[in-house]
Amino acid sequence: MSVTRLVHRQTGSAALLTVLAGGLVACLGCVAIAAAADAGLAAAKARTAADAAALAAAGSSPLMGGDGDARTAAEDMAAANGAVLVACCAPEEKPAADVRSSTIRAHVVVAVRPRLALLRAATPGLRSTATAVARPVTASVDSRGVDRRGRLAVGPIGHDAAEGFLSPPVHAPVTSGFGWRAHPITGVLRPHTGTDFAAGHGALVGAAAGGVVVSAGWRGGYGKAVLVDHGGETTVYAHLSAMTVVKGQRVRRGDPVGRVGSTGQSTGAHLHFEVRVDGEPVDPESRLS
Amino acid sequence: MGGAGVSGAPHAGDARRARREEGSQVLEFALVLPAVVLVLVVLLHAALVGVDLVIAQGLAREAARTAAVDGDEVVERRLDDAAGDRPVELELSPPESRRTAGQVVTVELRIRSRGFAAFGAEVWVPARAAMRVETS
Repeated sequence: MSVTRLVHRQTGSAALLTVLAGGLVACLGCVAIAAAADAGLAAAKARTAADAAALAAAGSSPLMGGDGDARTAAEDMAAANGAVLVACCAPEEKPAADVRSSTIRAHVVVAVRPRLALLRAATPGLRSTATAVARPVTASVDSRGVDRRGRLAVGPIGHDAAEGFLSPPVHAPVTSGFGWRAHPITGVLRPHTGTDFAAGHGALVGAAAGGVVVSAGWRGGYGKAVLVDHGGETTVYAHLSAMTVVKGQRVRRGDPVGRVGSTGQSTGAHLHFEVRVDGEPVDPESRLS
Repeated sequence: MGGAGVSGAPHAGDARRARREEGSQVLEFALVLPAVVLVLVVLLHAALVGVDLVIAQGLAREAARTAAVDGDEVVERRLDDAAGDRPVELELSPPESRRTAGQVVTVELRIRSRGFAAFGAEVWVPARAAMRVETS
């Protein structure tokens, strides 16, 4: 056999092997990508279904004007999102004298089956859990004292049981609520856009919910103030003596954002706490758990 | 194959053969490289479509939740913010005027994927989500 022919034969074999190996890698790559996308999609669908089912279960409470059949409500909602309800506990209800102070928590587990047979063989379904927290907030109360048109707490309902409500930034009595009042310095009647807590100088102030610090610095009459964006709503912590976060920092619920002080237009140490929805101040006490 | 040259001195033949083999390898590599790059690019774009499927599902979830709590106007505004400059087609049922508390609002949307856009192809990925209406 001549060397030239041998070289040609070897070149052909090498090229064939390269093409075969390339094809195999491409096929494996396609399968891996399809599996990853399918698993990711199933997980995203499961999350949607879990949230929807938990909200429906909480909303079915008689306290919310529902028929009390939480399981059916959760099952229907899970099915509407392409999932199967795995578990749904009886909602935990805390009725209060004022129906608007009542709370309902519902916890559900759902599963979504992936589309790919490969993944179906590996897992019976991708599971997701969610807890919804509901509170009647409208004022339409029927003869039984039940809010027939109650709605669930507005806000992102996540996988944390306390999501949907804000936690008090400090544990201290409220000295001035939201609404019209005579300004303590100018004496002029003007709206008070937040709630004042009479916490001692230097007390730690915690984030009312998880979010991103969008501002931390001096803000005129607010003095040293921190603004945290929670996605749709923003909380403001004003008159601080010190700030413990910087702009852009991520905070979790309860993480310290600063210390109580009396900076800006303030007559004494206190925390001015504001909640803004789409930039408009709302009553913080209606949003606190 | 060391000294089995067909012509010339054994050492000169080896050197020529080695050069020829090197040349063949370079040629092979040059022929295979574009195919390998093409396969990698196609895989990358397929992965982008996969990522966009998950993103679309997240958008549908947020849209359904917003529709259940606020009106369609807020849904569109939030969707515009979330999707950025990516085209989105949205369909909400039932219409806002016929939505009542306790009903199920369904969101069906499609977003244009970044996958295969470089090839001039328009790939739209769908998503669907349903939530219980909370306001009347």
